Amino acid sequence: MSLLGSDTRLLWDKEVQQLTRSPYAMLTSFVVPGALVVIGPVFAVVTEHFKREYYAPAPPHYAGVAVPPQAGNLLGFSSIHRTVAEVTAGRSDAEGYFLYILLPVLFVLAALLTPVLTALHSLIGERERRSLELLMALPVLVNDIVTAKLAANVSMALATILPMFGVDAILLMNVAHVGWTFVGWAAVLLVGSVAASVGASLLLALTARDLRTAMSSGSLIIAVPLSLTGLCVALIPGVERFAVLGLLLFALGIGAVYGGLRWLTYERYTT
Amino acid sequence: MDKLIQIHFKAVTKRFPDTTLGLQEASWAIEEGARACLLGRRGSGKTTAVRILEGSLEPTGGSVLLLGVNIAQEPRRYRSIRKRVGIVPQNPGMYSDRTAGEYLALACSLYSDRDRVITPDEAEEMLGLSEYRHTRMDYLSTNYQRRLALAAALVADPEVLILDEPTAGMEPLPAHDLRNYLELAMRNRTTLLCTANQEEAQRLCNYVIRLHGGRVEAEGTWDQIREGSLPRLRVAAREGVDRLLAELQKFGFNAEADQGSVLVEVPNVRNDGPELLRKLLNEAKVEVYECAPVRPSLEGMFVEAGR
Repeated sequence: MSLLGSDTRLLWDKEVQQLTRSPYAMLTSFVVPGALVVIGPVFAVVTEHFKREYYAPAPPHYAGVAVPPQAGNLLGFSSIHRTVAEVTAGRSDAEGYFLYILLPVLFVLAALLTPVLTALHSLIGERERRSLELLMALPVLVNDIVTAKLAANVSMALATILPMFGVDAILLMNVAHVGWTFVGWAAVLLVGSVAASVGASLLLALTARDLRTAMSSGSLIIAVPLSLTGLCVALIPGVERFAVLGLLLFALGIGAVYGGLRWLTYERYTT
Repeated sequence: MDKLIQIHFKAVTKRFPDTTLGLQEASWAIEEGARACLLGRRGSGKTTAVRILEGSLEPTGGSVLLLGVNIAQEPRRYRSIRKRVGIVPQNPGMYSDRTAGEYLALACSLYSDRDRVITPDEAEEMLGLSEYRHTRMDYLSTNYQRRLALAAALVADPEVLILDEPTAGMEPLPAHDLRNYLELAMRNRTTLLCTANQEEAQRLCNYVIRLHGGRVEAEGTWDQIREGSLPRLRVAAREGVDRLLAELQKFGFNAEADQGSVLVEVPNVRNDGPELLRKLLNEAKVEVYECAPVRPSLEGMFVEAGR
């Protein structure tokens, strides 16, 4: 954590300690990415593998998705079909659909939601129970407090998501036979999503007065990166969608942090 | 040699985003070693002033100097001088997942680049917190929660101590105990105590800044405040209250009957007292047998100011 100043590092220690003591934070940190990054992908890849090994190939579906035939004419769906078709040469429709359509969405959801959910409790919960007053009375700046909280939440999220992604990477490379490029760009997507979650957490901390408001306005703020994910998945072909989406989410996160501090200021958090 | 000014508010205005004014052109200066209090009702701007000093609010007008550093303009220097300042916040919330000892340890490590930092053990000892070292912060009684906040502010032996309503909401006995600790803590250091409790202010402070609606209404020692506020003369005459009131009205004075005599408002007791007496004796031919300045009680003074 050498990127942080000495005071922020001390506060970061405190925040990490508090996160590891909080059953809510621990549950969120393990269950959300566990379900989205490990259980979902493992189940999908392994079942597809066994289906291929032991059963006769299923009759081709429409881009691997069971939908009414009319839906294929809808805008967006036809482009998904096209992009899936471009990248799934040599794979079953279902596997291609999972790797290139569902997997990026699952990754974005896991890396976006985990830090935001824990950050809501540590940032807004601290203000609600007025212990923020205690912190501000210590010789630190509000900037240190917020940075330490966001950094602790990101560290916690990365500490749980990256090992889980490691499991995914091994599985995808050995069972679904994807290459290093796929794994590398998927990692970029995870990091980009975490960056977007930092921006979302900060915006929520600066705008929401309490946890209830944060929960309701949180869905609006998160809708932006999720819409971006939908657009990228539909419009960008191949493994490049991971890269483009990861970089876009990273930029979105940086933009949200800059905009939040420039136009909203920390005063909104402390008052 | 003049004493250094350690806390200086220069025409400070703080307007919140909802346009509420926290402070309006408020100016005051606190010298090194002074035990000053910001006295005022709820909403008078006391906590806004503390929040500006702790760096969590930025003034919308004017400037605030803490230990000679402009808080808003010199963030780097502010960070370093902040270690020379101890702050006790108003009624802070307590962590449910940290013990008193852990919180003091955090405070000590944040102040660690100071020359004199006392250990958490010493701080606990000093404020009678030793037996609660391993107690969860939210399990402490209000009295011990406030002591803990005070201990955290004192670990670095700060030059300036800022106390925001340290006894607010406490029962009389624990509040009395805490005031004893505050008295010790304030000794030999510049202190700014924010309080709505006039008795507490009088006991602990020798300099008062009276705030009302974000403005400074009066500033000075207790005696200066008394003298500067609504000076009055108590006048009694053989002709009785009614005649006296009528004559005073003719001369253009505001007066009211009070316990068989008359209280007369004068701009300045020393200058206007003799003049008033001459008019009554020589021009109105009233036989005055009593004329004495009335020192307003502080309580009455504040009640009047509140109106």
